Amino acid sequence: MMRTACYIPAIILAALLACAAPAVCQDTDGEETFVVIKAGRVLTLAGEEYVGGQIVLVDGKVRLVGKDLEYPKTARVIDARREVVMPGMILARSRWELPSYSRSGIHADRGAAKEIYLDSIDFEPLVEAGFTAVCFYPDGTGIPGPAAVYRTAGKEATRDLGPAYLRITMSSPGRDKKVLRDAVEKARKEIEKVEKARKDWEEKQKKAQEEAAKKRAAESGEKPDSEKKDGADGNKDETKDPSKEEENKEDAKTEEKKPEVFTPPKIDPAVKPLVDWIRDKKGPPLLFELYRASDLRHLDQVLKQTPELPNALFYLYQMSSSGYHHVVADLGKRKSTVLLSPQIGQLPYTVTPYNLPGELAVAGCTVALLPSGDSTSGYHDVRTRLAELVRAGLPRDEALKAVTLHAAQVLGVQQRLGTIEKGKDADLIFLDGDPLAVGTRVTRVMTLGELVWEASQRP
Amino acid sequence: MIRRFVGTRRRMSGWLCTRTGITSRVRKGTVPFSLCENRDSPQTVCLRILCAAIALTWCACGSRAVAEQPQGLAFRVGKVITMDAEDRVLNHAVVLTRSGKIEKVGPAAEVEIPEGYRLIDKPDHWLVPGLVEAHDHAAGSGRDLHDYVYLTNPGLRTLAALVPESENNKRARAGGVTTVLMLSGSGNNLSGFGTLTKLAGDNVDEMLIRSPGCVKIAQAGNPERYWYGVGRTFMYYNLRQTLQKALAYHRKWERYERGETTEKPEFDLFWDDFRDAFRRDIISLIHTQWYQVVMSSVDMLAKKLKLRIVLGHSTFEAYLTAPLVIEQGDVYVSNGPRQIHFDRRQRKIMGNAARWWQGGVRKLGVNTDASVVPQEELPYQAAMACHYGWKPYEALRGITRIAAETLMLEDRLGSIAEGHDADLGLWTGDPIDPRSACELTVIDGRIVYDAAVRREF
Amino acid sequence: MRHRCFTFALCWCVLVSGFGVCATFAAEPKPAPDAKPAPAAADKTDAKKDEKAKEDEPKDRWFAVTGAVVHTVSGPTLHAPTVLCKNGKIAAIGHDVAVPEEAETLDATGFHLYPGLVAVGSNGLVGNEPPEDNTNVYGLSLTLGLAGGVTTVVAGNTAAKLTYGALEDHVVRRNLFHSLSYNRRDPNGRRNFRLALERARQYLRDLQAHEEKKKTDPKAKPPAELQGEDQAALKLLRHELVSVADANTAQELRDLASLVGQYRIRLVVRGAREGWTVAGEMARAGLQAVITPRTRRDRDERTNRPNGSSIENARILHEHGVPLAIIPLSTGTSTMGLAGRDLLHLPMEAAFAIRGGLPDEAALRAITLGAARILGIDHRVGSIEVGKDADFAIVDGDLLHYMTLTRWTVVNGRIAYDKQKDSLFNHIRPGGDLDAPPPRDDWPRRLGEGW
Repeated sequence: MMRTACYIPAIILAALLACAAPAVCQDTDGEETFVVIKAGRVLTLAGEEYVGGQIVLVDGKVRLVGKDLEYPKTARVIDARREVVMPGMILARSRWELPSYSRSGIHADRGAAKEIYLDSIDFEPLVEAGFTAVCFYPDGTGIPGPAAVYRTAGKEATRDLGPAYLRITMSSPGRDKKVLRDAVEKARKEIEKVEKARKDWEEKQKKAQEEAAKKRAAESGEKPDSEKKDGADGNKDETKDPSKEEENKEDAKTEEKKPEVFTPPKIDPAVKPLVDWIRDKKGPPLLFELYRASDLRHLDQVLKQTPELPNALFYLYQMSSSGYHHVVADLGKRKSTVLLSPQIGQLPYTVTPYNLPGELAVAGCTVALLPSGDSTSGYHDVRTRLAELVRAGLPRDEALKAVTLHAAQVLGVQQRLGTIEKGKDADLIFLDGDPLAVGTRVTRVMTLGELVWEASQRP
Repeated sequence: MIRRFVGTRRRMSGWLCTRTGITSRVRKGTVPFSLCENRDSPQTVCLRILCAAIALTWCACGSRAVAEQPQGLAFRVGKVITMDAEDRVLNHAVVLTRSGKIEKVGPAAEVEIPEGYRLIDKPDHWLVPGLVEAHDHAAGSGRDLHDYVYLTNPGLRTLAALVPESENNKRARAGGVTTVLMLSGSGNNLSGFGTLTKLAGDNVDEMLIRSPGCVKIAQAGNPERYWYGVGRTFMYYNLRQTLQKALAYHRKWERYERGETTEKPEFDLFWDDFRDAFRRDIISLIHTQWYQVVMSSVDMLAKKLKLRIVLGHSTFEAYLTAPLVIEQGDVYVSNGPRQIHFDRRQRKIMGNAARWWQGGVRKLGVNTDASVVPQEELPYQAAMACHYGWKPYEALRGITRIAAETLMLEDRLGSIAEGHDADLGLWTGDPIDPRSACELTVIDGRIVYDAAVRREF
Repeated sequence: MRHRCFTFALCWCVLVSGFGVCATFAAEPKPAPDAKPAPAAADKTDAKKDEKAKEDEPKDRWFAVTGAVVHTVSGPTLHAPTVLCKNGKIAAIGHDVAVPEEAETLDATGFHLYPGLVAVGSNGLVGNEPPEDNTNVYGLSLTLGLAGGVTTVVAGNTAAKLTYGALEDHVVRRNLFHSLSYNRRDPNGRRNFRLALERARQYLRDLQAHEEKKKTDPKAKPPAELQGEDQAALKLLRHELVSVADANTAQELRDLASLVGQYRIRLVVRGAREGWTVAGEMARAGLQAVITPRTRRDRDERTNRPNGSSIENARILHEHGVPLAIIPLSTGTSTMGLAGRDLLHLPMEAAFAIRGGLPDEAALRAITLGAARILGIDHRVGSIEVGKDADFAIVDGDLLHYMTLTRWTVVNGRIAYDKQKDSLFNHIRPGGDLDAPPPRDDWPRRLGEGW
């Protein structure tokens, strides 16, 4: 009939509106902020490069990357058609503006985070140079504690990116080996302690239940073989007997007083990460710091006794006598992630140049690079250093990833940072040319979709 | 004249009388001391002869000099390395010495051993020339190695510090070393004049070959520590200025001696010994090392000032200047005490002497810079030079013949050849092999070390 | 009707616009490349498992040297035998030894194979004690020691090997000696030590008496345990420990000889410069000596008694039967320039002992088996015998000749130094060529070119 026919579209419409309403409501309420960056070139470092591409950000995260994208008209557009956009660089090891102190021994609980007051650190040199995240490490030797990652700019609430690697030095083996051995021993003792406590608790439980069963058997006049029944049955018998309800309740109460769940004794926080690795085979990444090739051998000797600990994340401090070329193949074989300065050094006692980062990359390591020092000039020169390495043989892609994705991998934040991909945070830098070209400067820096620094606005 | 003669006689006889304790009797006139009188009776003549004999004996004893002629020595040995012009090496040979000189060298079958010669018959030993050290600081008093008063000390002579029969010299003889150039230290640029001396003698006159024996110049590489603020620019200037002044003195005297001027220049002990150097009668031994410093030694001192230089030390990477040294032509290289150089550009240990040789330098020897390396280990320095690439015969030549040439004494030292000084070493085998020991050392035909009496080294 | 049509039209309009809105939001974006989850972690654990599986398989490591003249030191000199090593120990020596296929072989024809040299004192080659925690296994000093043919050194009170690039089997023996200071400058110290020995002796007597008493009275109380220094004294008396003392003058040596003669402890003397004057007493007391042939002290001529140093010290001590070890003037490895005075040239120091009359075999022993025996490690190093460690110094001539260079050094059955592969000496007489050209002096060069 005609009437029914007229109502059909209404019904359809209603259904559609029901679906669309939330979307429409959103739009009209403004909770999703769209930002579109129209870039001259986009280096995603995730495989694709777009000339004349766009990046669509939603609420500070990357939603789309590509060319000829569609976006709502209400999106805020950032015109960067004369600029190159790449992920913000990540400084994976720094003590910028932090005081130095000497600390030795086992302190896996005392992190760098405890000494960071974001207000008191001037991050501008880092931001200016193009670093959107920085990892502060605790000073000292031995196991000084975990590092902490922070965004270099943005809303305070968003800046703490959490703890990163646990720093373990092996720079003076005579001293540091003992610390590591002691720490492992301590961790094992802690595990034993917990196991012992658990066993004791279980025994206690068993005894208590046996005694309770005995008591009940004696009271109820049941055969003593009720002792053989386990606790649960004993309880059931109890509850079934209505005449002894009050007594049951009392017994139940006393039983409730005993903890039903085993609460393990507190593990010494100074060795907790090692306990996690040894017992559960997972924990925070362990970064081993070496000063020379020989330190790797010393480290391996200690870790031979503890194969549960990972041994593939390193920081290599480069001295003229370090001689890492002796162990490059070994590091490559175990597919290590290596953090180091972007130096082209020389083989010890020679002037033969040796591109250590390049050789490590060729051997199969994941290479993350740092600026040559914690200084303004060091931060600004990092792209020049990368260019030198590229000229000496490091693949260009590896060079750029070394300060972005691989650095994020060292810190364990690669799910959020390091490349321009859907779902990752929009921490980006804009440059007025190719990042590895001479004279290129950072023009704008963005964290979580917000432009936090612009060169044009500098006094 | 007679009076004077008598007077002299009386003085002399007075001295003699004092020695013999008959002064009082002469004065009393009871001793028929008729030499004082002018009479010639037979008794007088006999007495004269007797007194003359006594006088001669006393003279001989009094001076304590070993003035007797050395006994002739005859060596019959398994091998003689002559280091002569033909580089002869003789097996089963005989060497005769007489009056302090080498009389004859030849195969045992050909050379007859005359009567009266002391025979040293060692058919399994070697005889080599006495070793010659071109850079020694240990033959004298250790405290007086050096005078640090001025940055240049022209006029000083190490002769003043030479100590005969010092422990160092005795041990050096036990190592087969017979002649050294004793130098002052290198703490200032020009520390004085060295002394060419043998290592045996009861007094300096007996030991001495020549003083001044050389000019000792330290170009760089030690004088900088003399006083703070002294660098190469000042040191080289200072050297040039000093040597130019010396040269001017020499020229003045030359002109006077040639008769070009009648104005006699003033004698100045400060400069006088330099004349030998500018006449090229003595060498200028330059403490010099490192490439740049050796270059400037050759350029400034040999080329421009026309001194006959010897590059003492010439260690570190100085071997790179070999082409320059060869081009100059008359420069001798005396390498030591450092035998190795760790080249930190290519992680290699270079043997200094080997590199000099491979660079084409043939006027090459080694030294000990005693007592940086003990003097008796001069042959061991040669052994080390061979270990790091040099060759044994050349190394032995470098501490015998070449060393003598370095010191401009090749006409009398450094080889076993007729007419040369009888300076020899008798060894149980290859002298630069540390396993061989020196059994006998002869200087000027006299045995000055005998291991059979007491082995020193 | 109009009402219905209006509604109908309105519905369709809204419908259309609604479609449009939905379309915008429902549209799939251009597929952005998905972020690859890091498979590294998974790979790592797999790789570890594989490696572990491989390690669990016990594989023997074989190494064989053929063609060399083998100087066994403890036995005869063999010409071109095969020396077969298994897992770092010598397994067989002979002319008909079968070499397994997987063995690493080294053809050393024309070379001489000696036991790796033992240096009873070193400075800077291995790390401070404990060396297994401090040694730089790629260090230049260690490499230079190997180039000098040295394979075992003493650092402090520990004997360690120059294991290049590895830390397995680095330490040979700890607590080598009890350090004794026994000289007239410290009479109180001497007295205390003697008292400690006396107390230890008394303890031994009491112990023996107690053993006797126990037979009749099982409840007898044993003597009280010794404390402190007395413990060391007891060990010395029981020959569980060896003392080492520095002594150079005849007087000091006599004092030690009399101490040892009285208490029959085992003692090693370091220095023994005037040992040649009291060799008989030293030998009768059973002292062992670590000497430097070139040590020099001029004779004091004011006394008739023989004194001072002597190049014949080694010979005279050896003739009287004093076991010897030889160390050089300096126990480091210096590249400063002076050659032949430190551990780079340990055989040369022995050569100077030969100069003084020591027989060749004894000199060789003093830097190999004799030194090992004094250190108490001769069950492992010091000679080429089946069962001992595979430590070899393979040189291009007579070890005690000044021209001889080390071609290979083997430690624990691994080639730790190869002269032609290492840049340090590969330009000096490669292949025995006396007229080899000099190395190039231009730089830089690439890794692998003559490196």
